[in-house]
Amino acid sequence: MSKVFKEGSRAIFSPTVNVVVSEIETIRTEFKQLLAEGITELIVDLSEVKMIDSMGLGVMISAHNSLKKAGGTFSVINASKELYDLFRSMRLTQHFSVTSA
Amino acid sequence: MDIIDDELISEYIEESREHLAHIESDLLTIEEQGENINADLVNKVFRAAHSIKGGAGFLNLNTIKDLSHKIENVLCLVRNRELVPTPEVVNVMLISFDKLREMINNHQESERTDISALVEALSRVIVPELSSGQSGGNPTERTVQIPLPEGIETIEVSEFDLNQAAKEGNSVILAEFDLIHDVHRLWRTPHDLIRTIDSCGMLLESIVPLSGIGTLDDEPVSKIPFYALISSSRTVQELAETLKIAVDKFTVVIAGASAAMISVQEAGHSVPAVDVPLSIDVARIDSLLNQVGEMKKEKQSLQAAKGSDTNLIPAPQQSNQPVPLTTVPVTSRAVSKAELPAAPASDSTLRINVAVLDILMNLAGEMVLGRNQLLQAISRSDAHAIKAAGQRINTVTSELQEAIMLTRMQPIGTVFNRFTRVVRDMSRDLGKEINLAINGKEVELDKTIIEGLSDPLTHLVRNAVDHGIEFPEKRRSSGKAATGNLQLNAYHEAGQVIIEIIDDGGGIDPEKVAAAAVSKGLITQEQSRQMSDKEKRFLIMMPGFSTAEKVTDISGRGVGMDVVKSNIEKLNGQIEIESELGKGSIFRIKLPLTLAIIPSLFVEADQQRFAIPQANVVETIRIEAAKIRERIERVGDANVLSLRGSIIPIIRLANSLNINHGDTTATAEWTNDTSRDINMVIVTTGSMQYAVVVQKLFDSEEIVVKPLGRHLKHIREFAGATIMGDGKVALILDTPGLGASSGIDALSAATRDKQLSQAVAVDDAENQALLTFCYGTDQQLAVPLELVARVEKITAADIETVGGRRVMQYRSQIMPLVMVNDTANVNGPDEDGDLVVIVFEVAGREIGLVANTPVDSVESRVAIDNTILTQPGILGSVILKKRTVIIVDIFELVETLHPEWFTERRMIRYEASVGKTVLLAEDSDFFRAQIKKFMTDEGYKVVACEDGQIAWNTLDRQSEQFHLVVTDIEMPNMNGYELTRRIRTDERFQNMPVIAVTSLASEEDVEKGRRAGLTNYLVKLDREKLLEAIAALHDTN
Repeated sequence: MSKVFKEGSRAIFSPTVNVVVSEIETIRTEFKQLLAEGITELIVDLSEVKMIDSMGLGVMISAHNSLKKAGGTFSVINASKELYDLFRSMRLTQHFSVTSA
Repeated sequence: MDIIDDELISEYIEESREHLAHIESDLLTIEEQGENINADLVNKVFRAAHSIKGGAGFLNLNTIKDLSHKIENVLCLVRNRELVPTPEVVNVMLISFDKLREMINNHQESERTDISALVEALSRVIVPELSSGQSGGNPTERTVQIPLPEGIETIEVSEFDLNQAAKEGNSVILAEFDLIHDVHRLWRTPHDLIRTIDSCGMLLESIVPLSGIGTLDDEPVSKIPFYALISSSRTVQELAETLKIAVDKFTVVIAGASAAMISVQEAGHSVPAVDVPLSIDVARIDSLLNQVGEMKKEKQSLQAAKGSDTNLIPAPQQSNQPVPLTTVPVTSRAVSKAELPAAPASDSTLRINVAVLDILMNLAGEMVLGRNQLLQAISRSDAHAIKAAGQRINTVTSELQEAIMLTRMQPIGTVFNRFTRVVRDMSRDLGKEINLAINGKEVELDKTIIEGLSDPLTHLVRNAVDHGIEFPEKRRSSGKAATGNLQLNAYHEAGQVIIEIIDDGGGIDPEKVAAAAVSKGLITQEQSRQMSDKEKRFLIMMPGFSTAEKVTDISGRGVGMDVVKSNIEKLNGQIEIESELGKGSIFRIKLPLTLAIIPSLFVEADQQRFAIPQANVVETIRIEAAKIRERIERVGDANVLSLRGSIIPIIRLANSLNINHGDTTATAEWTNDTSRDINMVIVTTGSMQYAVVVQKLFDSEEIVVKPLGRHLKHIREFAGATIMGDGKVALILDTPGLGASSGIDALSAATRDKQLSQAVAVDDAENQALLTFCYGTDQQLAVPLELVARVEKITAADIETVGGRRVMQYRSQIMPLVMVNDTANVNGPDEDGDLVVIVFEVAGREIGLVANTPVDSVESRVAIDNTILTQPGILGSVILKKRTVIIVDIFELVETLHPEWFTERRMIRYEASVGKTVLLAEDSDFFRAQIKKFMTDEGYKVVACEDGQIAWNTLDRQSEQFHLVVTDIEMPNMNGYELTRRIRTDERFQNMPVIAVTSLASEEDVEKGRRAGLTNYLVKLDREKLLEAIAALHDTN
């Protein structure tokens, strides 16, 4: 179960597991939940995440797309060096903000 | 790769050095071109930096990598015309490359090197450009849109990256991945995929088009497309394999050259052969050369044995006896690998064209065949076959030697090119403006010579910049252009390589140099007085010498010149200095082409053999016994040879080397022996020639030069020794040394030339060449040498008196004779002594002046006194060697004795001269006096000037006064041509007649005179012609 910190329409979502295919469904549901609650600013904290696989990326991109559609923002913080490089290589940083730890 | 080979690093360093070698001169050219950049050149430098960066990254030399990268950025901007390569920009790059070079040479320390200052400097150079760039961001990112296969979106990539890839011959390929299927199933993480992409090329750009993915509400997609734009030298097939996706997922955006080459390989053709140079260790080449040298000697032994009476082949009758095969010691050893020195550090390697190596391989093959042939022939005792095999080995050995020599030859440009930077930096530091011109970069020299030249040349160049060329203000005030010129020349001449360093600076002041040498106690005042200007200037080469007024940091104390000289002499070379005060200096270095093996002429003197290097031999001469008297003359206590119009000093080798065993012929007297023909070799030292008399002449051969032992090195007559085919030693003559020790040096040779030469060119204002002769007892007379046509020996009986006049029969004509005592109060000739007749041409006729021997010629630096002792027929007197010598006025003499030859013309002319004033410009005292006398005798008023400049000044000041100008051509300060031109371009003198009276008689000179505007051009010195020419002007007026 991921940690969530809410403050008004802002939420910081901190997964405690790797964002990989086995966890995807849970995370997807959690995201949907937050949006339904009216969160418009979603920040994903990756301090405890070591690995993200393709499905994980897919889910995060979907979340971004949703928020954009709703006029909100999606961002990532505390990404490890490896994860930060990944986001950068895939040029995802051009779409949403990614900051490293 | 985790393990980095030492070899890999060596190779990288060597390649980087190669790249760096040319960068300096390239950058300087770029600086010169300024805004008009040569894109190819900039690219070249860029790629050098790029290669260095690439290798450094691979080898974990990160500091080198970082610095090269920063340099790359700047170069990139320059290439895209977004940054002008101003001197400041180029400076930063030069310094950065210097640092790079430093780090490469010391790669272990390079990681710790601090490059922050340079990085900052490089960044600063770029920054002003950045701000003026396109809407924010790095101006290098002009982008190109590449449509994605789906057609919806595009991937944006910087134009620069695309061009970069294309230039490197890479392909640019768009690869499509599906993160879910491809990546997820086959790779651990997308991260691994990225890393793999990095390993097979460069990821230029990538994109995940978000649009196709949908939102959280949508069904989770089954496909997450990821596009990567990759620059790679690999083929699509290879990439497909490595990246684990199908070939049809690739789209080639730019097809690279590598793709083309590889497909050629696949088609089964070999990659086209390119002349890639190969690195070879110098020590191996030296070893090879030595082997060849040994082979030559063996070959000579072989020839000698064949040539001698040693029975190589026993006579057929002795066929029953066992035949000793080893009469000729033919040693053949395989060159074992162990003998070759181990490959040392990369410093002593050479780059050689592979084609040359192929030639060597071929020749080696031929050599093997020849050897086999020889061995077979020997075992069969087949004399004919042995000869044939010997021939073959002979030829191949020579070719082999030549080819190996070729490998060692390097162009001198490698040394010269450095100097552009040196001169540029030095002149900037000093505040001087200097233009450097380099000629002859392609002249090739042996590698060791080039290395040995590097220091001396650097010193000479720095000297020229520091001491030679003056500061701009000083140059301007002397009427020179503010920018000084420095020229470096290299060319071949007479079997040598000549290198010149020429500057148009202030020249070397012989007096200053001599004074400095005296004050340092290097020479005495007395010695200095006896030296010529040339010798004085050469004093700067003495150890312990320096005229630098202040010790500048730049070229040290000036004590280096003696080191320069000794370094050059170590290379068997010579150095000469030519200089003119105010105009500049030339330092000339002469070097032999190779050190080791040279063709030489063998001669014999007193049963000993000597070798003279072919490069020093001009020709060989044999003088028949009967002609000895004619060709060889005595001048003082030396003998000279007359050869096609020039006079050459002779030395007799046996005498010079003091090997006169049993030969009692003292020094010069050997010429008295006219019983045998004489053999001579005309040799040259580069600056002068002389003849060497030898007993026998032999063939020219190629010899291996062996240096003389320490205890013999000081003998200047010998340059080395060689071992001849029969095992005996022959000494090699050193022509300059031999000449010097025999008392012939450049100065005396030149003087002799001048004295005896019958050509006329008195261009030295102070000297008057005189032909002196005895006349009667204890009386010395003289006439100007230029007027003399011939000197003939006669006897008293030849003089006849006809009709009261003295004449003689001469070449089937009658020639009138005159004697000085006919008109002047001097003693008559000694009728019992040896008589000669000095032939002149006067008034269109030949006349002879009777004289006694000895007849000699001298140069008189002393002014002619034409006041005392003048009488009809006497021009004046001069003191030579403490004796009073009376100068004969041949014209006056003839006119007095034969007035009828002149009368008719005289009358016409007299009218012409009335009231006319003539301006005379003539630097020779004698001629000035003589011509003035002619004209005053005719009734003209004459104002005589010593040189063109004075003449002009006089004319300028008193322009109304003169009616005619008579001028010599060769004068100091302002010559006749210039004077004439001045006159012609001045309004006042447009119609002024100008007549030249000169010794320059060629058609060119006459033409030159005509173009300058001369009215008439006369050759010295025909009085009648001159006066007629002047009179003719009156007629036309």
